[in-house]
Amino acid sequence: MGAQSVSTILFSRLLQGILVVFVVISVVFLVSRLARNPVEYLTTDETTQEEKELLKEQLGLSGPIGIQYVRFLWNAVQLDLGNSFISARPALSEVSTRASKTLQLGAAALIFSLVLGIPLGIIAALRRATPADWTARLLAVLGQAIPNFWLGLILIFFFAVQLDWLPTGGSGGVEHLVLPTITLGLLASAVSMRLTRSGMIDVMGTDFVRTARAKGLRESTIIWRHALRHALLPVATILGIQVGYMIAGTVIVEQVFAWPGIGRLMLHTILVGDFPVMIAGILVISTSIVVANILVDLSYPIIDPRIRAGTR
Amino acid sequence: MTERNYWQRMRRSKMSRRALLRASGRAGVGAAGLALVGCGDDDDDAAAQVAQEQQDQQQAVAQVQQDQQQQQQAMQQQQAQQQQQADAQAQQSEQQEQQAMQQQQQQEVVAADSAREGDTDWERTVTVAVPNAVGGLDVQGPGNYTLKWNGPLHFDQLLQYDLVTREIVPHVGYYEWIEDFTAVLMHLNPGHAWHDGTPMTAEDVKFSIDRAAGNAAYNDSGVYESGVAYIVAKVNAEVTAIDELTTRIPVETEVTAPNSIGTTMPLVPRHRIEELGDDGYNRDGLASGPFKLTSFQPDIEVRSVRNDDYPIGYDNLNVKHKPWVKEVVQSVRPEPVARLAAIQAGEADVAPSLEWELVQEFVDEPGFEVLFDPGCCPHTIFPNTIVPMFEDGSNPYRDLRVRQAMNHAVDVETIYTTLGTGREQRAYGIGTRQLGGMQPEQSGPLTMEYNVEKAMQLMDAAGYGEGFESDFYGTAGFFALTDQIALSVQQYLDVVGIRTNLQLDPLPDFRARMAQRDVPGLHYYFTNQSPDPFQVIAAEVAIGGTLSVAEYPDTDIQDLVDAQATEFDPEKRVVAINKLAERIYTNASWLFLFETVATGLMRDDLEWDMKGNSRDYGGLWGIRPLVT
Repeated sequence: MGAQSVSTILFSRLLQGILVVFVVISVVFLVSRLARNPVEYLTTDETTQEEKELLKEQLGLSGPIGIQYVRFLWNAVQLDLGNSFISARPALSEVSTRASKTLQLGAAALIFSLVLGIPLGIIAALRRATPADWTARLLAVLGQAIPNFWLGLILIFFFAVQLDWLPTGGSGGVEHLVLPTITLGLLASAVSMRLTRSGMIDVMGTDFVRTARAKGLRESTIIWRHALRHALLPVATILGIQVGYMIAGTVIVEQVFAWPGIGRLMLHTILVGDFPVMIAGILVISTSIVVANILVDLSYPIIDPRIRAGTR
Repeated sequence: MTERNYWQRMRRSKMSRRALLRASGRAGVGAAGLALVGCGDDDDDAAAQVAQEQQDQQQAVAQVQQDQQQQQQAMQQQQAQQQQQADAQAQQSEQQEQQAMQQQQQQEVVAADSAREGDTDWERTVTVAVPNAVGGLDVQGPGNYTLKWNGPLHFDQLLQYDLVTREIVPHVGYYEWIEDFTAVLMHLNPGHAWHDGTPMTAEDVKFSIDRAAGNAAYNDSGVYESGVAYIVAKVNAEVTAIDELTTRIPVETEVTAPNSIGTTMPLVPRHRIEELGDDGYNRDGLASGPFKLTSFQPDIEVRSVRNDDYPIGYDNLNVKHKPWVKEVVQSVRPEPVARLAAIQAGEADVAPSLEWELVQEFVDEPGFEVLFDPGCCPHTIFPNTIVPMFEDGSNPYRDLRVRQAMNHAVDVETIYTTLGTGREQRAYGIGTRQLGGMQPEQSGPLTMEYNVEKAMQLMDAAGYGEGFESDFYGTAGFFALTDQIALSVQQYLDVVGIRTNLQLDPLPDFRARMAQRDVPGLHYYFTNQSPDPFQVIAAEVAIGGTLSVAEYPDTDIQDLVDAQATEFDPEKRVVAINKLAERIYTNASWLFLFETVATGLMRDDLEWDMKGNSRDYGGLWGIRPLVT
């Protein structure tokens, strides 16, 4: 792959990404302004209408929505999304402290899903129609069918309450990460397993695998060095989408396990109408998904040489 | 829940021992006088003698009369003396009785304390599973005042409500009305200090009031974004610090002024805010309350330690006092089931506010105690009577018969015995029975019992025999079971022809709609739980109140609202409030549901006595860890 082609892909994807992020935060800005009035959360039953109006003005929520939007965009370009209505801290700083926690959980869940899903998929493909295949497929179906909030609670009661092996929730050491990682990563591992399995079944029947066998290559070399690279292409494609699903999944998983990440923060800010933090959160999430998809796009040529040839 | 309450106690007729002694003294003197009247002698011999005798008699009579007058004067003097003696005796007796009672109470408290002194684990850290801990540390900031993990534990008010009597009592200060009820003097008790050791002064009180009102001469803009301006809304002129400990606060002449300023306005430190600014203080708060904040990780954990210098000790357990717990950790567990699991796993000791369906299996479970407390607020449904419901300008809820039908149509008892803990009670008015609601003896004969037939007759009589359609708004997820209760009420109302379209929203959205006051239909909300129901009356009953949608300008309700607002005499105030509560009920102003019961779970090596009041996150200073 030449340097020119990579930079072209990167530039094109970046432009698309910026457009996507711009559209997303614009929609969120407009919908949130129309749908929720944070002043109601910040005041009590006894607060008068005049006091509410004053607070609205102080929070920058009065005046025509068009002017609010332009002001918001101008500040956003300078990475100033305002202060949280609740904590008075800068919104981006509120989100960034939480984002690292979510990144930690998301990365752990992603690794878990790949470490569990890919080997299971390979085993299921190589031992097709055997008890190993059936077991792997059953696990995949369960992983996709079980709602993660239910799975989380069952894991808490079994491993934390009954066995007392792990904490029920919170953050701290690695032990706090185990149950949320399993809960969040199980669905992704099921998807990875199914895609790996079908990919491997296809690849193992192709001419180049037959040729490799005819050349006398060891089976493990054929599987790991030649077949798997081809079978992983759909897994890599789905990874970009999985990142989005995982971030959405953190809202529930973080709630169940009291994991102080961006998902829980978003849930709270949406409920109370803390617009600056909500928009900062959406900005970080949408940017993460865009970046993940760009990285996936860039990984195709590395995984599959035929794509590398096509990009020239 | 304690049966004693302020309103009942104040309403009780005061036939004291003093009055009895005074009456008996008067009766004794009167009887003595009567016994003396009519004593004399007469004779009738010769005429001269007769004349002489008559003269003598007249003289004698005059003498007797004079004697009688003297006797009467003596008697009056004696009577006055006796009365004075009786009064003094009665007064002395009453004082002795009060002293004896106080001594007995103190002895009981001391005895109870000393009995448990050895049982208290003074070094214990107690972990409380809380649903959230977000927000800022500036208790006066928007949205921060109601944060239970911060305000009640770390901050102080000048006055408190006594947990048992519900009376306003001195706390870190006391108050007195001056200048014909146009101003209040707030006195700070000497020696009270902020957590950094700086003494609290009248300047801090003045600063707290000014800042709460939004005046901020200390910052560049001169304006502070206050979330508690309504608390000091009755302050109508400049507050002045008269001396080191005394603040003069000019207020509107309303009984509620000392209540709101004294019992609800959180005191904030002037020196710290001037040093850090508003945003800095919001991140790095300083307070003076029973717990000192040691660390705050938003949405993760709040750690606080006992304030050993707190001036209110263990000799008065009826107000916020020095905690027994050495350290309290509020550990965030947003999911109720996860809070329960944290207790089961031994990671937490207490979890208030857990749904009944989660904790009911622990009622007889060794090692745990299920907390049953008075819930937040009586549930009530407010019909909007302000705006028309239909195109012809009509609004069926303006008709008393429709409102009565609504109350007869719903089987409240079945709803709460089926969905609740079974310990709930019917709601009768502007507060719970303890706090401003109608008393059982009042409500008994007036209760609008479940009677579908009667409800349908009333609907017929009102001209709505065919029924009508109405919107019905409620909150989703704010109180446990509100969605199920709303669905039940919807079905009951449907039977008598009130066909509702139910819409459940998050509380802020619901409240915003209700506050607009121009949305017709039914609004399922609640009344407040405050030791004096003045807030509920102002917000939900008074015409123009922030959430008043059920207004009845053609009745005497507003007059009763005004009457209680300026009634300073405690006994007359009780009467005024009860009269208002009864009027609201007989007017069927709202659809009255029930007083809720809150449940929670605690490990049984803790004791948490809030004298029948709700044991929630704000009252963690009341937890006593026991030696096991």
